[in-house]
Amino acid sequence: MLRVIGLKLVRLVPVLFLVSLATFFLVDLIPGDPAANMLGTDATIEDLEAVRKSLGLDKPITDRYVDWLSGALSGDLGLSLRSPNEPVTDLIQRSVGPTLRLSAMALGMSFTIAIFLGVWSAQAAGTRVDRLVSGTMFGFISVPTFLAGLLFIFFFVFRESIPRWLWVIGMGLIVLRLLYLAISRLVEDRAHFSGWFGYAIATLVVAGLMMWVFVQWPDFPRTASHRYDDNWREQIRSLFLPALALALSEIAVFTRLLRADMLSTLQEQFVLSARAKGMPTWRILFRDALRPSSFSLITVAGITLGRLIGGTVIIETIFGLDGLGKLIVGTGVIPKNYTIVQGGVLVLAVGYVMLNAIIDISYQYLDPRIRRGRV
Amino acid sequence: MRSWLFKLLALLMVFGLVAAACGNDDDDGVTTGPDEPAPAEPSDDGDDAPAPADDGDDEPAAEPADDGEEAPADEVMMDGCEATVPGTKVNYAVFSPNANMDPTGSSGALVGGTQIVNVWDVLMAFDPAAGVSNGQAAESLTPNDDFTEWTLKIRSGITYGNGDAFIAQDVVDSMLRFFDSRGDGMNNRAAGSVGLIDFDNTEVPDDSTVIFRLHRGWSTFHTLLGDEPGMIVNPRIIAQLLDEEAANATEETSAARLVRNRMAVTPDLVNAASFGPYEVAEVEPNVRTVLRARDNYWGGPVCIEEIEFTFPGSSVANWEAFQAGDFNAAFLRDPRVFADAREAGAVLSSEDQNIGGLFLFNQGVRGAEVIGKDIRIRRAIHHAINRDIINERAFEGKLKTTNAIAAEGTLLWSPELQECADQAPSYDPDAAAALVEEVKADTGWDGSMLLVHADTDPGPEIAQAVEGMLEAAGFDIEVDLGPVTTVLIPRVIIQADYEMAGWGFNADGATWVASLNDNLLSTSGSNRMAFAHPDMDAALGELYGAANVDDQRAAIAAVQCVWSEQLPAMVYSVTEEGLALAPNIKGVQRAGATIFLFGNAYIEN
Repeated sequence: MLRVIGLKLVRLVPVLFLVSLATFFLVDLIPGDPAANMLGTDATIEDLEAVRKSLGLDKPITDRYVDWLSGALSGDLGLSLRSPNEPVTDLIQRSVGPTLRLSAMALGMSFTIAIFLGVWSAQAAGTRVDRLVSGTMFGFISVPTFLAGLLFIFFFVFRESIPRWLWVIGMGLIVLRLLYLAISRLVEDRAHFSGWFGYAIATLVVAGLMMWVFVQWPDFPRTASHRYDDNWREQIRSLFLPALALALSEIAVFTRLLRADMLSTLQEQFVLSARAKGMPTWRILFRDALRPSSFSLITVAGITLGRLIGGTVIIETIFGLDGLGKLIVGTGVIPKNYTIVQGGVLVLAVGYVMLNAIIDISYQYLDPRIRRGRV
Repeated sequence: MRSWLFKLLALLMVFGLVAAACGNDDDDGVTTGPDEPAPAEPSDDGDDAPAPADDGDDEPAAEPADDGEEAPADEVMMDGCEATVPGTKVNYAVFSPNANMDPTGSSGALVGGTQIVNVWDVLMAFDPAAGVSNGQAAESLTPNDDFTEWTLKIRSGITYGNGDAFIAQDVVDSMLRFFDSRGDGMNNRAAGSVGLIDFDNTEVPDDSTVIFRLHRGWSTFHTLLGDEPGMIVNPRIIAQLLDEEAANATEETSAARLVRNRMAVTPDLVNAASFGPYEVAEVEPNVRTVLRARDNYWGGPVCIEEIEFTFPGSSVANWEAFQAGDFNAAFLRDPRVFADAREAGAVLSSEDQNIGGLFLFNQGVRGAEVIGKDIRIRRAIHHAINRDIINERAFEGKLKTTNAIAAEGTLLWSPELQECADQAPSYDPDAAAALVEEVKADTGWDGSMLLVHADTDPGPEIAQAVEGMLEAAGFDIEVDLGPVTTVLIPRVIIQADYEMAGWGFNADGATWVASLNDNLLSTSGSNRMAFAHPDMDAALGELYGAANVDDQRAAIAAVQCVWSEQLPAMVYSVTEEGLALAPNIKGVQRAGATIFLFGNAYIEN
């Protein structure tokens, strides 16, 4: 495993060099002045020139790049050009936590919901349930993340009774469906205890969950600020809406991917064999068919996590969360704070490559053929 | 069985939808804080008539505090608490996060002013409604007849966080540090004003007295001691830090800047060097600040245990988060948001900043040959622009428009001033078109003009409305929209490459003199327009020496008369700024338009 990661990191070096070079010169093309950002509208031109000189902005761009690169090679990503000129590593360290938590939560939500819906949809392929899930997923993909964020703020924060009752209706339909199945099995064959009892228990569990969530419905905050950092429950509460907004389109993508892969897996001989042996459906779906169906899902999930870590700027802005996206774009790109942009891009690139290395490694555990092939 | 089930499902769905539509009507309204109903009490806002100044306006504007007792003479304090109340907290949504707790490293005012004033305290606290300053860490401040000499008496018994006694020499040393930070710190406005102090002749006769001597008479000098320069940083700690950083200083980065940067991220240093009601508990520069009540505050017990300042993202987000109960104090700065807040019955403490909405005209900055030099063009723009149209298109009709530099309802407005304001050209598109044609014919100018404007909401709508009105009068307008720091400042200040720019002087009771002088005085380095007129210089000179509120009104009226005649820029509105507070937070003291002291504040019940 270490060899794989090592090789990935070696390949990363020329990539990082090119990325940093391109980023540096692209950022320089953006209009603006970090000195103006520091001094504001009260500054005189003399003040601005003095600050520009003190920040080294009067040097040629090539000199600045070489200065930055030599620092970066020795582990020093430089100082932010924004007062109070904190080390870039400190700023990244501080802002990467909220973004990682947000991204992980969004990915966790996406996985949980997508696995359930994807498997269900594949199992019930061609039925009304499948069509409903597919239609809903197309709807989710069509909603831009920023719009989802704003809609969630409106409904979950300012009109919380609407989602609360929609939850009851949605879960109520599931409860009724389970109840219908339990009753119909009971009417068909009262003596076959396991036939109706499982549905009866499921009905009670889902009904209980529905009522519990309805009663315990949390007050979602409008903002996901750092002030919730000390308490994990508060963190989950404050990150729920932004994570759900990010998760919406991912749920749709993951569900569609998993459904397609699952459909082909369910046609495999080993699945037919398991069915013939009378294995329970849940076992066939979740223990036998899910693992070989999850390659595409895991590959895309890895790419998604990498994308989320650097690309949550809009959601971070809407919910007032000071994460990595907001740092790179708001504090870095817009005021031409190039040290932050360079440092941020470097961290993202390394993170991205590491994630993909981990995914490559995970294939060995998911598919015994790959594992044995290597051995 | 199946049809029966579908009927049941349909019935349940109908029931659910009806319940959702009817559910919890309370959510449709707006609450002003967590678990609190909207209050019915009247707001303290700019719509109210300003508190009249005392008839005895002959007194100097700076009022001495009652006495030298350690407990402040404030009834609110008596009602507040006997000790810090555990668990009480103010969650404060800021306009913009603070970069640095060091007053010389913070922009101050609405960008960090409240955070720092509650840590450092302030010598004098300005009362915007009355236009006077009251002693805070200072016992009294008394001017001589021509306001060139001010005698400051500081309170006795105040100690810094590190145990050092607060002495008069500290005031001078701390202000000198401000003076030296000009061009290197963040607060150039305040640093520039400190330059009016003649430090060579300023005296410290004893440990409790400073005799300030100024380069010129300045009747509102007391406001400077209520601003960031009046926040005293223990100079002994600064001297020690400067020694430590001397070895790390380079040609580019001074030791003073390194000290500021250390102060920004080291709460212990700030707490040791300050004596305000709160200490810094946690700080993330440009993100959030957490303050905790100081145990041994010189002014008695601090009731509210903690204040956390965070930045939701905008004035709209502040108000939404306040309504949602995330915050129990939120800074607002948008007329549409203020209108919503009033409609919701929120408790507001706000003030109208004069000359908040303004168009600058480039009149030849750095010798540039620009069309704005011709007063006929400035006159034509005044004729072409209808303030009500800007209001309707960009502010939903909720902006407080005005043609005066001191709007009606603000402290320094007077009928005389309004008379002068009304002499400026008013909306008359035909007159505008005629003037544009005349200039084109005389000079060969093709009507082109560059309008630079910030893109912050509703900047694009303002620019679009103005563009339309000016083009209707024969101008050919090119609009450059963008962020303040990447478009407005470079275009206006650095390159002086503009003909007309959206701007704001934001002059309130405390900053009138500095604001007008900075922007209009012919010799000012901050005069963005290259406007120069001897009558204006003379009128601004009178403003420095105006002895009381009546004299200030007369002086401002004189400035307005010159303004209406010379048209250096076009005013279109005031900018309202202030705080929405949960109704159970009491005793918050406004120490300037945008600075709030929480030393005497408490949370009811």
